[in-house]
Amino acid sequence: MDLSDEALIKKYRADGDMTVFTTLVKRYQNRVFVIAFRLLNNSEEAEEVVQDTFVKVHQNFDKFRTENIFASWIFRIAHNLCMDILRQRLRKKSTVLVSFDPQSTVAEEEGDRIINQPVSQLADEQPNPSQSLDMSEQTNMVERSLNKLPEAQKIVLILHDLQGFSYSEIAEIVGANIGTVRSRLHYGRIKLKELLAPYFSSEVNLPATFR
Amino acid sequence: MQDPNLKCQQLEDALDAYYDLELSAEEAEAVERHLADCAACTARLAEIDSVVMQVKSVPEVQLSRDLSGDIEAKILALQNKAVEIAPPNNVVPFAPPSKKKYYWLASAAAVFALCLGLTQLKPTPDSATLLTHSKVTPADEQVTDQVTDHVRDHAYQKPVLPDHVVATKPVVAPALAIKPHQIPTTATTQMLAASGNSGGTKDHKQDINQNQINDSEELVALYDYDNTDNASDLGISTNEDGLYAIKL
Repeated sequence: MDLSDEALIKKYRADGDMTVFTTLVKRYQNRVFVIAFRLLNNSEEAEEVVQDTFVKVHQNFDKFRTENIFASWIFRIAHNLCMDILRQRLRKKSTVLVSFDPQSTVAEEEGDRIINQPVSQLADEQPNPSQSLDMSEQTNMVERSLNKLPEAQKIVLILHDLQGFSYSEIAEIVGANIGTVRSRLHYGRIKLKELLAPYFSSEVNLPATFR
Repeated sequence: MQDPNLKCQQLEDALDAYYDLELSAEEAEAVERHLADCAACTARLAEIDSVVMQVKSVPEVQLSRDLSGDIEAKILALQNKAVEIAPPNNVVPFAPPSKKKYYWLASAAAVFALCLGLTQLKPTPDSATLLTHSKVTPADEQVTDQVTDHVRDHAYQKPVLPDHVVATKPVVAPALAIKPHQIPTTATTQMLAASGNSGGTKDHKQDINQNQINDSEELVALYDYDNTDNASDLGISTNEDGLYAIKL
């Protein structure tokens, strides 16, 4: 069935044929998974998001207005589900103080929870920039740097640079205006450049034209 | 962007939009004019391109399996659950009455309660009604009919005053001749024997014959063998298997 989204929606609303809905699922499930995986870094949770997204799409099918873009609506639902999971993670995350004490490494506990863990050595977390990185290490570094970005900037970068959504579509998905999307993309790229700068040369390939 | 001669600071976030092809034709033209004369902004544009290429270099991820079957199953399960808990079509949602109606209802309820209280002062209902509440088998209908006839003959009747007598006070009718504990023993014995509840039957018969029951509700409860409290009062206890043990 190679019909457009609008045609499939119309057909499903007319006869409620589940195979039509399944066609829409198969069309978008992978993209939803990619976004969810990039946001959550967990394939099981990302699969859950995919399932929950389409269940919600089905439950709210009557509310979708055909003048809107169906894909943006699906990804909006997926984005919100991912945000819920990330908020839950933040709530569950316990904070532990790490202090520097060359004389002791005895942890301070409160009940059954460690509240202060002294360390006797401070490790340099930044790897040596002079080390050359092979391709797999480079991509790992990019992924890790991407994950270090603030969530709002990371989401916009993923949706635009990895998924190819336009500014207006991203604005609809994340529930912000286009100016905000533009600003987040701008500062997200600056931040990512700073994180990657120690590991990549300054050689760039300038395209002959940009338009 | 109305000024054709843009400055670098103005172009800062417009370069990203220019790179992403998100500017209008006029805006893009203004940016290109600036880039032609500004090496710094040209370098900045190159940095944007480099970062975007790095982001696009991350490995692609894909779903390991088709989830459409699981999704369809979840949707169908939710639909079935919704059907199970949906109320029948003939059920009308209760709409709470307005405050005025509420006050009227409260008054009516109070009057009704008062009338009900007053009726409790009257002789108790016929014993046949009590018997039908017990676990009497259909075979005992003949017994029930006998009791019904007996009670009807002695049912409460408002006394008729002679013509020369003027009532100054409310006339209090004589008490009903038959009270629940005065049900003919014969009928009761036959009923219990045929009820099939062998456990504790003899004890029940003894208690009734002793006229220890004064309240109709207690009589109903007595025949309710599921009421373990009454059973234990009579020296009968049951365990989880429903076996009866008689307290000696």
